[in-house]
Amino acid sequence: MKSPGNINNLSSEAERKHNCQKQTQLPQPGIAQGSCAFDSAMMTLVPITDAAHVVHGPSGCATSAWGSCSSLYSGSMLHKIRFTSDMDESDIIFGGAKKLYKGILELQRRYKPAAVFVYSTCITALIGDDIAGVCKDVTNQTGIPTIPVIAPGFVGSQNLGTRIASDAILSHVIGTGEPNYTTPYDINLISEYNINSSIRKVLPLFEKLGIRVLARITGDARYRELCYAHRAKLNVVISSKALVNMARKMEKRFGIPYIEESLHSIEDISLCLRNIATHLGDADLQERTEKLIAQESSAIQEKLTLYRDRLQSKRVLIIPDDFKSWSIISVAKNLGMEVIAISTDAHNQEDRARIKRLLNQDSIILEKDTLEEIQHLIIENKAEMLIADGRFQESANRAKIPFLSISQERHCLHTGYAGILEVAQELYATFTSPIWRQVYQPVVWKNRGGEGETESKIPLPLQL
Amino acid sequence: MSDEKIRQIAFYGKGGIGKSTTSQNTLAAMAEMGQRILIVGCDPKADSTRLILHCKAQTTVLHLAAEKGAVEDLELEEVVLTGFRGIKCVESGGPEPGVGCAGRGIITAINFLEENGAYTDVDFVSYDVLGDVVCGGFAMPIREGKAQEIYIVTSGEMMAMFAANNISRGILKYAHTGGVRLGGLICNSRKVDREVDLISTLAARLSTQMIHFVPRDNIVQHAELRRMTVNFYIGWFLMF
Repeated sequence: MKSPGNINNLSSEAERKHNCQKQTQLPQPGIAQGSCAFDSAMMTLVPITDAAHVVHGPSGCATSAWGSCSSLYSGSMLHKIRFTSDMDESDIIFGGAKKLYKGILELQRRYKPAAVFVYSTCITALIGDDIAGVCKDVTNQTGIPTIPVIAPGFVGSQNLGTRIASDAILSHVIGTGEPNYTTPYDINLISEYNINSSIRKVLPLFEKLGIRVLARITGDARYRELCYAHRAKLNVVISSKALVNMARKMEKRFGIPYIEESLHSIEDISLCLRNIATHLGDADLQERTEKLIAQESSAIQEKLTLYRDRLQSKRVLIIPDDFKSWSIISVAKNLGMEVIAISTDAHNQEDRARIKRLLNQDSIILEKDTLEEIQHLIIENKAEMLIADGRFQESANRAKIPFLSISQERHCLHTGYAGILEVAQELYATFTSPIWRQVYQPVVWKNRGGEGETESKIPLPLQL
Repeated sequence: MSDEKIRQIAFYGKGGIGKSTTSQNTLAAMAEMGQRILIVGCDPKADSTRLILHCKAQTTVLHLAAEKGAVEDLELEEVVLTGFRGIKCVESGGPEPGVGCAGRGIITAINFLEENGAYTDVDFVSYDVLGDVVCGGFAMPIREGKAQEIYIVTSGEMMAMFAANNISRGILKYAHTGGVRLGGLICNSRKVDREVDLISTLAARLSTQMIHFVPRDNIVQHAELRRMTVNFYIGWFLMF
């Protein structure tokens, strides 16, 4: 079951599965932000805060990207420690399973984690180390669930890694525990790793409505929650292409229906709450939900008026990156700004269609996202602000316009009604930063005789 | 056929000792008795099904996967061929000598077969694994969910017995965690003096048994030259 008007049902099932396993774009020199199946498998599961995560391979593999993507956590810090079996050449030749076994036992003795996840790397998969066997042995011996995640880097792309990780949870974790109590309003939130900060803003809304989040998969999760995730009445998949698969499998296996939602605009949030209430099927809940939606929507619109007044009809150029971008686009539109989107090679059909739908116009398709090209576009479109990933900041600086970074490393809470307000505040703050007034003043020495250099061809930002 | 669980067996032994020959001949006879058989060749040489198919298999899992790009793009029907008496044959394939990693190839091929339901509608699955089990990959057929009975083909020659002992050590490791067990030794006679005694003693020391003594007979070689099992050869020969 999917919510209407959702962008994820663009391609057919077979196409989606095919795309999952193949690269949607070839890596280009200079802009390849590589990440492999192993990396994304780790990123999917590392947010499980009270579990220990062990990388079975050389210690270099443990320094993968997940550490740098910051996200807020409320639970234990155990998942932040990078455990590795530190394979050296001798271990590769003689096999590393024994070393892994001893290492995990020691880990469990010292840290007493709720569970241990063991990740295979390229090298240990190559030599055929029996990680599954080791995990089974350890579990039998100590009773602490030890789960193998066999997603070495070479098996495929990021999406495949996420899928393998979610399969590992489905096979080994979900269904192994029971909650203390259940209510008819239990839901699971399924989304990707770095959205857990965003979910924080939405949780209070659920609480107000009496909806109980049984398990968070996997943002800021606790291992125990995952064990009894099969008792929820509804799975809510938030902005995740790869984990939709998991919801589908849970429907097949446990009969839990799922809906796909996004939280990136006021309309989306209201729709999400409404859909959840509808699927939980309680008339009283639905009534309360409608009241809350009306209340929050009008409150937020009122708060946005201030920003709308100041930012209306400003032209802004955006290079969408991940789902964070959608919320920025929708807020900008809401505030009456003119949004021009650029699509690069990194965007696939789905993204481009979504851009078109959000903006009612096609995005400008850029062949090479070099700094010069973007700077050119800025001048051509008379943009007054650039919103893009951090590496494009140089273009904005050269064109002397404000720049808002939407790189993944910044964690921002952009969802929920409160989050939308924060987006507006960020846009406003970026625009009105006092530095721009100084930047646009003519340089002092030009005024003393001689012709002044023609100022930048870009109109001045709003006057304060 | 019967509803019993399928039996999965694997043949190990020193290179050139007669695993492929012995297993194919045995399985051909079992097929004549009405058993449904699947042979999984775990050797880059892809010569484990030659006598059943009467030619060397061209469509190995790994070569086809390399052609198509990824092993996920493969269909089971493309790699499972049917030969003598309906025996189903599939070869893993692998790299040529001197390059790559054959062990990883075996892992990938067997995972593919498992995930695509190759083990349905058969009574026996037989894994024919190349000579010395030199890395983790070649132990893939004896991991959980696959072969439960291992038969080591050996002869009275010293090196063959040494290899048999070595392989048993490998099996022991997996026997501790899983259900796999050493089913026994098969002696492929090389007309060594007191061969039966030698092998029986070795078997006793390994706490197993010699399940059969295959006497040396040139008819096996005659049949093999013509890419046939002995059963088929006799039938073919009698036609003339």
